[in-house]
Amino acid sequence: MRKFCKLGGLIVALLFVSCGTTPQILDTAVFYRRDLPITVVYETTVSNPEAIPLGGGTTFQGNGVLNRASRYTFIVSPKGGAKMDLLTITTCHREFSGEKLTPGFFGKNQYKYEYIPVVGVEDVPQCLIRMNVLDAKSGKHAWALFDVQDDETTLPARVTCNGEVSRSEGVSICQSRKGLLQRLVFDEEVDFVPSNCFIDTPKGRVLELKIPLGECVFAFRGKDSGRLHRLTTVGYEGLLIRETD
Amino acid sequence: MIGGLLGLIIPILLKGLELYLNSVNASNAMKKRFFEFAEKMSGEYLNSVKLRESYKAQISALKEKKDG
Repeated sequence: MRKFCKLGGLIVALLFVSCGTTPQILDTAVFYRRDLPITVVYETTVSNPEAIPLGGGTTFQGNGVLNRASRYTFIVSPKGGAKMDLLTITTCHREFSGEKLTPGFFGKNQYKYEYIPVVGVEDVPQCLIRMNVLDAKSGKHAWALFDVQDDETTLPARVTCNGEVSRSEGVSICQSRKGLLQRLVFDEEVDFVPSNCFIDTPKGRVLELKIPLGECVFAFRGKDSGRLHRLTTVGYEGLLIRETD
Repeated sequence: MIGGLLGLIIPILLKGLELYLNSVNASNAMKKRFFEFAEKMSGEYLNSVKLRESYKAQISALKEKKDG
């Protein structure tokens, strides 16, 4: 009987141990991958009315280039059941912050934010939109960064970024692990001036770059047309792991 | 018999206490980290400002390069 009780105690104790979780503990000094899922619904687009996504909108995984629009609905839905203890949405002009935005037991774990860019202030070239979610208990934080297409930046390019090929109409964003090789092919030869982040100079129409750490922006001007292209790079050093616990 | 029961209960209680203390410590560490990240985030707009200034400077330099 005594042996049985001791064995039972051991089993129950092991059960307790097996129920324990070890979440990923993030480090503030590390630049993590931007992977906060955001669904964007454009109410009306200014630059391309035919590109209005109807119905559910377009979902981005932490980064992307949005169509120019007069009104947006951002649906923020964190991965891995992360709570939205603090949500911030920051543009070049405003900052929204909300606390404890996680719904009740039956509600969907998402938050809708209506964004109407201020004319002349937020609908100008290079007004980045940042969205950040922090979860106080589990530490499942998440980030997102968006640029917006504008009328002044219209030099197209074929962007090969992190295994995906896409066509950019003048504004592009590329996220990968820092140091990995990416490629842009412009429609014409481009001029380039060094910025505060280092990348190799484009050769003719082709730019091959190793993604620098953190966030950088680069401008290119078509030698024939004088049209501009803007590339924002996001080079991360840390992956986010949320589904294991 | 009593010894056997104590042998069952005490390890469970000790394990439960250990897990509770661990979870309290982990929770405190997480909360501390949460505030650290919140503070870091509140300064992130400076990155946007820096990128915007860098972009404007590049556009001006490209214009000068073309004109020059």
